[in-house]
Amino acid sequence: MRVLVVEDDREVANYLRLGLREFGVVVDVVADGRDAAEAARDPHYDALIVDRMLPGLDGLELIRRLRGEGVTTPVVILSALSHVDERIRGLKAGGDDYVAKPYVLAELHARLEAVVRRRSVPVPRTRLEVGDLILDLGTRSASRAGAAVHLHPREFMLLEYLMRHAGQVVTRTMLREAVWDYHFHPQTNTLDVHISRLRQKIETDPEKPMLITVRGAGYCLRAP
Amino acid sequence: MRPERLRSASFRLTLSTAALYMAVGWALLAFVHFNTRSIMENRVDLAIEAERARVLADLRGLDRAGIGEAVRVRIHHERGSARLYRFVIDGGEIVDNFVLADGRLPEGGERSDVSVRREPNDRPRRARLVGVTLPSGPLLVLGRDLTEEDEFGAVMRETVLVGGLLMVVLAFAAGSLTGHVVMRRLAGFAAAAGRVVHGHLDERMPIAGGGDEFDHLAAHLNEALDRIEDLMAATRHVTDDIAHDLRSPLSRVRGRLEYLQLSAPAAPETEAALADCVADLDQILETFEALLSIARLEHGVASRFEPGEPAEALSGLVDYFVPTAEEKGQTLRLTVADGPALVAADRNLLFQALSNIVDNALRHTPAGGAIEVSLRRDGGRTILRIADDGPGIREADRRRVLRRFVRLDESRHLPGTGLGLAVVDAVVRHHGAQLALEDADPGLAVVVTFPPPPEKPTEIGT
Repeated sequence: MRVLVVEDDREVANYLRLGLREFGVVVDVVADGRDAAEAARDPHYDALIVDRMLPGLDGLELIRRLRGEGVTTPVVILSALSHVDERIRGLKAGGDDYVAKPYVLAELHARLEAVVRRRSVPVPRTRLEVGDLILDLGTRSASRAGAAVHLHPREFMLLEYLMRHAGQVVTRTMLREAVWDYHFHPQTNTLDVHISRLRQKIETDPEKPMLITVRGAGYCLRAP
Repeated sequence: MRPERLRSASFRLTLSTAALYMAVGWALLAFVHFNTRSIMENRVDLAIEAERARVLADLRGLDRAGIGEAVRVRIHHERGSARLYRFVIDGGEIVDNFVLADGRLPEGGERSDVSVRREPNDRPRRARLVGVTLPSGPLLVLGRDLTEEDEFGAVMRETVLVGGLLMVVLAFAAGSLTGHVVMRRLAGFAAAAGRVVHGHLDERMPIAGGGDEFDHLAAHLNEALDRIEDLMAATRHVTDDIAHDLRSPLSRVRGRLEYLQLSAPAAPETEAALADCVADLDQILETFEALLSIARLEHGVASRFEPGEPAEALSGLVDYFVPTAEEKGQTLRLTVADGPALVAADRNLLFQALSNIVDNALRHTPAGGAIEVSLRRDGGRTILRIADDGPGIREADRRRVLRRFVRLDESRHLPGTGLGLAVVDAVVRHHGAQLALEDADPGLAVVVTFPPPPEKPTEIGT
C-alpha cells in the first residue's frame, strides 16, 4: 500500500512514516496544502492521510478541491479537533474516515485498510463468505461448515462487520461505531465479552481459530 | 402556619413592629380616654356645685312651702335639661323630676352615684346626686343626669375600639412591608448563593444601587466570590493545561513504544513490559481525554442538540452491557413506560454519560445483583433511572462522588479513573438536565431528569 501523508509537523510525519512502514505501508510526506493538491493527483496512491490544520491550504478545503477535480482516492483525516461535530464536518467535506490526535497507530492503520478495501469492493453483497463461515444478509442467518449458527441481532451486526473486513485488523472503536453507532469512550473493555461470545458460537476447532485478538489493536477475522 | 415560617426573621420583625405600633397606639388612646373621663366627671361635679350655690342663694329666707314652690318652678323651667331636683314638703308631698331606680338617696353633705328614671316608664340612667341641708333644716337633693356624659363616653369607647383595630391593621401592614422589603433583598442573596453553590461561579449578589447596608454587604460578598472564582479557575486551568500539554508528548511516547513492539522482535519479558507500558499510557491518556471533555463541556463548547428518543440510546446501552452483566451473574433490564419520550440531546454525549452510569452499576453490584434501567415521563419531563441493588453510596458522599478524581474507599481496588461520574455530571449539566443520586433501598439509583424539549433543535453554547 502507498499512502500520501499531508502533515506540517515534521516529527508527527516522521513517526507516521516509520510506524506505517512496520505495517508494510509506503509513506510519502508533503508539508504544505498547496503542494499536497499537486501530489495527490498521482493515481498511484491508495489513500491520503490529511491533517486538518495546514499552512497554505486548510485540510478540509484541500479535500473539497480534490473531490471537485474528480480525485476519488480515499482520505483519512487526522486532526487534533476530536469533537464529533468536527468529525461530521470532515466527512461532509469528502473525507472517508476521521482519526483524532493523539492517535493510536494500530487504529489509524486499521481505518486506513478499511477505507482502501471499501473502495476496491464497493458492491453491496447479499452473502458474505470467509472460509466455511457463511453469512446470508437476505435471510439474516449464519452457518459454519454447514451447521446453522444462531446469533443475536447485535452479534449478527458484529460478525457482518468483521466479515466485510476479513483479513484486516478491526479496532474496538471501529466495531463500536459500526455496530452501536455511538462515539463514546467506554470505561471498561465491555466489547471483549461480545467478541468472546461470538467466538464461542462460530469457532469449531480451538487449534484453528478464525476470530483472533490482535494485541494492542483489535480483532481480525480470517479463514483458518 | 409552618414552624419555619414562625422562625423566619421577617415574620418576627413584622410581629415586633406591629406590636410596637399597637402598644404606642393603645397607650395614646387610653390616655385620651381616661383624661376625657376625668375631665367630664370634674365638669359634672362643678356644675352640681354651681347649681347648689345658686339654689341656696335663691331659696334664702323662704319657708318650707315656699321652697317647695320654688323647686317646682325650677323643675318646670328646667324641663329637658340634665338637672335633677327632689324636695319633700310638709305632709310628705314630694316635688321632684326623677324616680330613684337603684341606689340610695344621699343625706345632707353626701354625694352618691345612682340610677334614676326621668319618667315612670323610662329606661334607667346614671345620675349623680348631692344632698344639701338647707339653712332652715330640710334636705334638698340636687343632681345631674349623666346621659349626655355616658353617650359621649360610648362614642369615645367606640373611637378607641375602631382606632385600635385600625391600628392593628396598619401595624401589620407596616410590619409586613418592612419585613417584605428586607426579605426580598435577602431572598435575592439566597438565590444568588444557591446558583453559586450549583456551580455558576460567575453569579454575583444583586446590588439595588441605593447604597444601603444591603448593597455594602453584597459588594463585600461579591469581592469574596471574585476571589473564589479566580482561585477555582486557576486550579481548573492547571489540571486542564496539564492534561492538554502532556497529551501530545505522551502520545508520542506511546507511538514509539508501539513502533518498538512492531519493529524489533524481543524477548517475551520485554514484549510484556512494552505491552504494560502501552496499557498504562492508555489509562493516562484516557484520564486526560475525560478531563478535557469535562473542560470542553464546562466551557460550553457548541453541541447540536437534536430531539431524539432516549429509548433508542437505552436499548443500545442495555444490548452493549448485557453480556458483561451475564458474565457476572447479574441481570440488566430495561423498562420503558408511558410510550415515546423525546429529549433534546447530543446523542453521543448522552450515550457516553449513560454508559458510564451503567458501567459503574455493573462494577459495584456483586454477582447475582440486578440493575434496572427505566425510562418514564412525568408531564413534559423525561426521567431516566438506573438503579442497582449493590452497596449504594452513603448520603454524605453522594455530592462528593460527582467531583473529579473522587473515589470512595470502598471502590479503590476497582479499576477506574475517578472521572466517570464527573463526566456524567458535566454532560447532564450541559444538557440543562438534572442529576440525582438516590437511595434505591438497597443500592444506588442514578436519576437523570430532562426538561421538555424545545420546539426546534437548538444550538447550545458559544
